[in-house]
This record gives sequence, C-alpha cells and structure tokens, in this order.
Amino acid sequence: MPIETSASVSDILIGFIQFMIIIILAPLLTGIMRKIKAITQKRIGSSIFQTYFDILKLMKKNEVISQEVSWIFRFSPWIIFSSTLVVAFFIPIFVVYSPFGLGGDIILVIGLFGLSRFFLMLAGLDVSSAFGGIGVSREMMISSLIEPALFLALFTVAVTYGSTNVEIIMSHTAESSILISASLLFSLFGFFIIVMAETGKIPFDNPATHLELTMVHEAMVLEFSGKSLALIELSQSIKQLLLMSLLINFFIPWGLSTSFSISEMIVGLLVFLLKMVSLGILIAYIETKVAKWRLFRIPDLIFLSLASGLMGIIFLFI
Amino acid sequence: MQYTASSLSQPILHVFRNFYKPFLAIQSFSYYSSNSYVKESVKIQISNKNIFEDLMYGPIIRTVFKVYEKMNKFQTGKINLYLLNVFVIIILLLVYVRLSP
Amino acid sequence: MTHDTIGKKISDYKSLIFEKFNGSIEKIYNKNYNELCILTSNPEASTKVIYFIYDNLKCRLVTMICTDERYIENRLDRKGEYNNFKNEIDLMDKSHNGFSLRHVFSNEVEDIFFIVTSVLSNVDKPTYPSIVSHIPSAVYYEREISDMFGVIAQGNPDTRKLVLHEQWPVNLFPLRKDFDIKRRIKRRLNDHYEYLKVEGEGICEIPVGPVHAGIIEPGHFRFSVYGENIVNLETRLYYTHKGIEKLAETMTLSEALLLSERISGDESVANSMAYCQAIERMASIPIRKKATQIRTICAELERIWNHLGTIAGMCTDVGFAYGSSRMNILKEKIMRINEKSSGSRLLFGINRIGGVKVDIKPVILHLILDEITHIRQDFDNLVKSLQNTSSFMDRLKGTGIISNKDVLGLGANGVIARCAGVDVDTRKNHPYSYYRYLDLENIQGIIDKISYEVELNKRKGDALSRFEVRVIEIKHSIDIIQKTVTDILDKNAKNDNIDSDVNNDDILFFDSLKSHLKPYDSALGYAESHRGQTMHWVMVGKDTNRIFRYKIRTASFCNWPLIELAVQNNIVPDFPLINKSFDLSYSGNDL
Repeated sequence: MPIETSASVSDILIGFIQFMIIIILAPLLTGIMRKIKAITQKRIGSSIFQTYFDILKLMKKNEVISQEVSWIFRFSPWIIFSSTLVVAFFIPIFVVYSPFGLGGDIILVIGLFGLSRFFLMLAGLDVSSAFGGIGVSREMMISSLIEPALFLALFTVAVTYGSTNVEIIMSHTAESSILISASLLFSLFGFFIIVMAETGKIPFDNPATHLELTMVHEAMVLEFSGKSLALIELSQSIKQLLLMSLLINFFIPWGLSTSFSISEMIVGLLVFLLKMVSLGILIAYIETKVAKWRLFRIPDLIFLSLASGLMGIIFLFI
Repeated sequence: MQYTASSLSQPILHVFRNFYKPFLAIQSFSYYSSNSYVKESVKIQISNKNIFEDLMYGPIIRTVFKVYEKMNKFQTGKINLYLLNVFVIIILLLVYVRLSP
Repeated sequence: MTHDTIGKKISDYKSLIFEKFNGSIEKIYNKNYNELCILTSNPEASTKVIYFIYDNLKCRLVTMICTDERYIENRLDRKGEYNNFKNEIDLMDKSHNGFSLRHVFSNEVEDIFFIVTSVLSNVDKPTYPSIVSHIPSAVYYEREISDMFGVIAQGNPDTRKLVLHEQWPVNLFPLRKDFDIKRRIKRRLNDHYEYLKVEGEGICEIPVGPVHAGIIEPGHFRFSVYGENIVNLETRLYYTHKGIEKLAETMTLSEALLLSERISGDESVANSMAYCQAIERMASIPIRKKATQIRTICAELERIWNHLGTIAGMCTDVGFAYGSSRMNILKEKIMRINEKSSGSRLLFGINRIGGVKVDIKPVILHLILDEITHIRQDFDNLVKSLQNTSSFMDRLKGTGIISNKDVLGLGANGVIARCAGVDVDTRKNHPYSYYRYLDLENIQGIIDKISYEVELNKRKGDALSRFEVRVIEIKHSIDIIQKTVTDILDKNAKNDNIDSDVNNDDILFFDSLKSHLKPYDSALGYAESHRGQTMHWVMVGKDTNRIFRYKIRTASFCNWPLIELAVQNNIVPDFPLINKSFDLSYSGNDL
C-alpha cells in the first residue's frame, strides 16, 4: 500500500511529475475535444495544440481593467488558479500516490472547487456590468444544485470503499475485481452528468457561443483579458482534466498502477491517456448530438443526477 | 448598470418555486385604449412567500400563543387565588394517590 | 384577377367613396391599373376617408409617404397626372403648394391600392391629425416623417426622435428640398434618448448593443428584466442610417437601380425588382415573358438561400452546431448555383429597367434543375433529423409567441404574419412578374379553402411555426423554380409574349424610357422578399430621367415592432433565438 507517513524523495518526485503531467496535458484534452467537434461539423478545425498557442498568446498581451473594480477582480484569477493547482496535488492519475497523502479528502476537493467558483462569481459581480450579473445568477443556480448531487454520487463511492480519502479509494478500486456493483453504476451515471455540468458542456452551457445573453460561464469572465484570462482558461482546462480523471479512476480503474515500478507506471500512464482521450471523444460526441437546453430545464437534468445518486446510496443498503 | 438583488436570486427562487411561490404581475398603461402598443408606463409587483414559515412555523407559533392566551387567565396577581389553586391541586393529588392501586 | 375585373372593381370603389365623401374630395382617379388615388381638400378630411377605408373596406396600411412639393415652379407640368378626370383643378392655386402626404392602403383580396393624398399648405408649421389612436401601425411612419420633414402628427404621443439620433441639430430636416446633401453638420450631444422606465422594485435594465459580441449589424436593445423574466424590451435602431432616400434624389433612374440593390444586401433581387416594376408601371412598358421568368427564378433562389441561412442561424443560436453546419452547406450550394447563373453569389446585377441584364442559357437551366433536386432531397433528410432532435424542438416550441391580433394590429407581413395564421403574400394578393402565370395555390398545395384555414389556425406564432413556415416556403420555392425552368425549356409552349423578336434572345431590355414618362409622375412598385412585402414608390422629377422622390419601405420596417411583443413572457437566454427566428434586416429598416 503506497500510503506512507514518511515519504522518500523519489516518491515525492513521482508525485510532482504526476502534478506536472496534469498541468501539461490539460490544454491538450481541450484541444482534442474541440477537434472532434469540428470534425462532426464537417470542418477541418484548428490543430489539437491550439489551446497552448492561445494561452501563450494571452500571456503576452496587456490587460485592460475597468475602473470600477476592487481588489477582488485583480486577485481572483490567482486564487482560482492556485486552488485548482492544490486540487491537482490531491488527485492521482496514473499511480496511486498523491503528495499530500492523508490530507486529500474528497470533501476538501469539492470545497476547493467551490472556493474557486465563489471567487469567480465575486469577480463577475465586481465589474458591475449587467452581463456579469446575469452570468453569476445563472452559475449560482446551477452550482448550488450540483453540490448535493456531487456529494451523493461521491458518498456512494466513499461508503463502498470505506473512506473519503481519494488515495485510499483509488488504491481499493485499483485492486478490486472487475465487477461493478449496481450502486456504483447509478453513481457513475450521476457523476457523469455532474462532470458535464461542472465543465460547462452542452446541454448546460455553450462555451463557444458569441451570444452574450445566453452565456453562463463565459459571461462572468467577459471582462478578463491578458494574463488573468490565460490563468482562468488554464484553470478551466485543469479542472476538466481533474474531474475526468476522478471519473476514470473511481469507476474505470483498470490499469491504474499501485506500485512504483517503472514498467507499471508507464503502463498506467498510457492506459490513462487512452481512457482520457476516449472519454473526451465521447463527451464531444454527446455535445454535438443535443442542442443547448432551455435554462430552466437544466435543474431537471441535475435532479435526475441527484436521483441517480440517491438510488446508488439506497442500493448500498438494500 | 449593475444587477439588482432580486434579479440575482430570481433563478433559484424559480427552481424552488413550490417552496417560495414567487409572484410577478406586470401592468402596462397605454395612451389610447384602442391602441395598446404605445405604452405610457409599465409597473410591476413582486412578492415571495416562505412556505416553511407559513405552513410549519406559523401554525405552531399561533397555537402556542392561543394556548398562552387561555393560560393567561391563571395569572391574576391575587395571592389568595394562587393559594386556592395550590390547595385544590394538593387535594386532587391526595385523592389520586389514594385511589390508584 | 385580370386587369378588366380590377378595373371594374376600382370604378365601383371610386363611385362609393365619391358618394360618401362628396364635399371633401377634390379629385379621385385611377392609374397604373390598380391604384386608386384620392386627393382630399385638407388633412382632417383625409383622416375620415382613411378611417373608412381601414374599417369598412378592411384594408391594411401599407406605407405613408411625405413629399416636399413646395418648390415645384411650374405646377402645370403636373397636368399629366391630373388631367384624366372631369374635374379640372386649379394647379396654380396656393393650396396645392406645400408638403403632400400620402397614405397607401392595400386590399389583399382584390389587388387594389388606395392612395389617400392631402396637401399641407401651411409651410411654416405643417401638421396633420395623427391616426395612431385608430391604426397602431402608423406610429413609426409618423415619427419618421416628423424627423425627416418636420411635419408633425398631432396626437402622436411618442415625440422622441426615431431616425436622427441626438447629436443631430434640432429643426434641421434632411429630406426637405432646401437641405443640401453636401451640407456639413456640427454635431453636439443635446440630450439623451428617454427609454421607458419600468417602475417597481427589483427591476434591472440591461442594455445590449449597438456594439455586439459577434459580427452582426448594430442595434440597441434595452431590456427591463426581473431576473430572467423579460418585463419590457425597447428596440432602438437607425444606427446604420445611410440617407438612401436623399441620395436617390441626386441620381438618374439607372443609377438609382444600383442603389436599390444595395438597400439590404440579402434582398437585392426583391428590392431591385420592386424599383424596376415601379418605373415600368409608370411608363406602362411591357416586359418580355422570358425576362419575367428569369426574374422569378432569381427571386426564388434568393428566398431559398436566405431561408436556409436563417434556419442555420437558428440552429447556431440554440447551440446545435450539427444542424447549422449542414444547413450552411446547403446554402453554399445554392450560392454556387447563383454564381453560375448570374455571376454573382448574392444575385446582384440581375434586374434592369424593362427587363433583366443576364440571360440564363439552357445548359445552366438544366444544371439548376439537377442541383435543385439533389438539394431538395438533402434538405428533406436534414429537416427530418432536426425534427427528431427533441432538445432542438423543445427550444423552439412556445418561444416568442405573437398572436394573430398583434399581427393584424401592427400590420406585419411576410413570414412573421404567416406564422401567426395571417395569410398575406404579395405573390398571391398582388401578382407581379411571372407569378401571374403560375398557379400559386396549386403549388402551395391548397386543395380547398376550409382545410387551409384550419391549417392556418393551427399555427401558434412561436419560433417553431416560423421554422416550419420557412421549411414549407423553401419547398414551394423549389417547386416554383422547377416549374418556371421547365416552362422556359419547353419549346412547344405557346409564346404569348408581346415582343415577338425571338432572334434577339440576348437583349432582354428596353431603351428610351424618356418618351414613356411624364414629369412628376409616380407609381408604386412592390415585391415579396424573403422577409415580406417590400414597397417602393418612385416620383420622377421635371427631367424624367431624374428622381424627385424615392420612398422605400422594406418588410423589416413593419416587422421590428413585433419583436418587443414577442419577447414578453420569455426569458433572457431565449432572446437571441427569437431575434434570429424573426431574421429582420437592420439596414433595410434604417435605409
């Protein structure tokens, strides 16, 4: 069991490498999903590395900041970015080890995501433009409904494997048998809908839209430019990768390496890349099949995921 | 232009409309009764209720107050009546203790 | 309706109106085979005639035209217009000198236009009684006239400027003849436009535009919202006001043809066709049958590619990229057909006064037939897959409902009217060009009147019915093109064209208009663009090759007020979809 109270230097190094791989892979995943969407629209689309070029371009540009803002607007991109990075330390992707070990609780992960979302909403309101307010009120509605659904889905997993620590759960799933119980299937379904909602995919939100009146997430970040915008976009990509790796490693864990041998880790990394790309393609394909739902029908979808998570918990005790 | 507080909370209130029963009435006044398209002014009225208060806490509080009103009759301020009450209760208690098996 | 039946009906109306309003009518005569012109003695009298025509004869207000006729020196030149009726009027009388105001009404059942004219001779403070209390669609016409001419409608409660924005100086009226087009104006912001403020707590005002996040035309929308519910919407346009009507007054007839194509780039065929038809009606010149057929083919091609673009836009606005990408592919195929037949993807440069500039050879006609058949199959499959996508249909159903009453009250036309169950179509009501020879009712599949009425009543006026009306119209347009092309290719068809010069297939136009036109003569020209009825009114000057007044009213001008009604009881994210399902032109409205 690779959970140690005292860590050796090589273990910390491997944890750090895992963290760097998350940061570097995140924009690639976004690029692959955009490419798939372009192919389904019969376009050639931009290359899969375009997100890297976008972020680098934004880093070089000057920022234009409105005069009405307070310190919240200037600090929130950094708070968002740093809280997302902290979560990246908790979630193992190809080897079951995270540098923060016992501190990596699933509830803390949800709380950190909530912290970044809270500051994003504050920044959206801070600009005192009408579009920021619209984006914030819609995001508030969706995220306050997502939290209980997320808790229910993850509690099923936690109760099945006996702990809320991410690392402990993943070490159990990596060693468990291939059969998934019924409660985990329900929880998977609920968690999948939550992942689509948190990362702002169609039918919840259309990130590629130019219509400011329909935006949910983009309306809050309308006023950011330059480095702040680059940080926020990178945080979004990292959050997307982290949520998808949670889904992969909790529910489809085969190939996750449990020891520190080099061959197992390479296999784990390759299997993880394969699973990540397939999940990205699946999500992009689902996005092209549906139109964006009416705003007040979205809670119905979230309640569906809530019900699914509830069924998962009920099936645990039957 | 910034956003108002009622507008910020309206989506959540709409999602939980069975609990908050939001109400919006729009009245528009036009210059000519035959032409309702040229408006002179538009007024709205909004109200939100709280059904937990109205259906749960409200009746409980009201019952408590009603019982209190009835019980208030005992508080007359005359010491002789209080002593009479104590005497009556003691007699009843003695009878009860005597009669119970 | 042939010209004889129309002529008979016009004489009936002429005698009816003349009997009823004996004292107030100075002159009543018919011209251009379906226009009945009524000249009244003063504006108050013309109001009574207007109410009679609107209420009793059940006509719609089509446009209101104001002309500055103060400086016509030799009024006797106008004899050409006036001398075909027994009552000779004294044209040199001062009371006929001033601003003339024309209200144009149309009778949809019997292809007749009523033009009620009155002359406002008080040139210092020209006013007339407003008809807004009775006819709601007149509000915008009256505001436009008061901005451009300074002719005030008494009783119109909305005194804000419509066309000229606040930095234009007060008391300066551009369309008057004494305003030189080259004059430079010093601009200063005098005051602010007042929007209707909604009273009540919790209301938030959201201003959108005129600079939008995407590359679309400028227009300002001021929403008063309560959370996501739209309480009130006010639209403010005229950010792309180019002064087309004033510019036309400096042009010759052929130069103004190029101008008419560019009023709104995607309605070029319809607008230039309306302009050419106005001049052709004025000059009473006959058009070769093949020219009318080519005009019809191009008009229907324009209708198809625009409707495809609108449906693609509706798919984009609901985030359904699958549908929009494939609709745009079909639209691109049509535009390539456009280029092969006319050399221009947007069908510019088709029309010419008296005919058409391009001749479509039989090779290209066969090509058009083949491609249209393929496009029709692809389109049918695509619509079926769109109708099977429940999330797409759910977005459209019940969004942006307009009622039958609103359409009739505000005088909307085109797809907007047809989606609410009001069947107005200029191609059927006032047939022009080759539509006279096509049996449109047959093509539209109307077998009997009653079942058609039932089907019309089923249309709810929401975005879904606008989508369905456009789908049906695309199919009908494809049928019309197929029929017209087969008619052209059918060598055995009886050629009852007036000009029997069959050797001269390349030259489809007429020369020497001057001999057919009289000074200060005027006529209406109309066509059905993909948005609705576009109405042009041309008055030539003393030199009959120059334009004295060119009044344009595109379909968007009538339809913009309905967006403010359609968004009520809807939420803010549905507004772009409603706006796109209306698909109105900012440039066509602003001129």
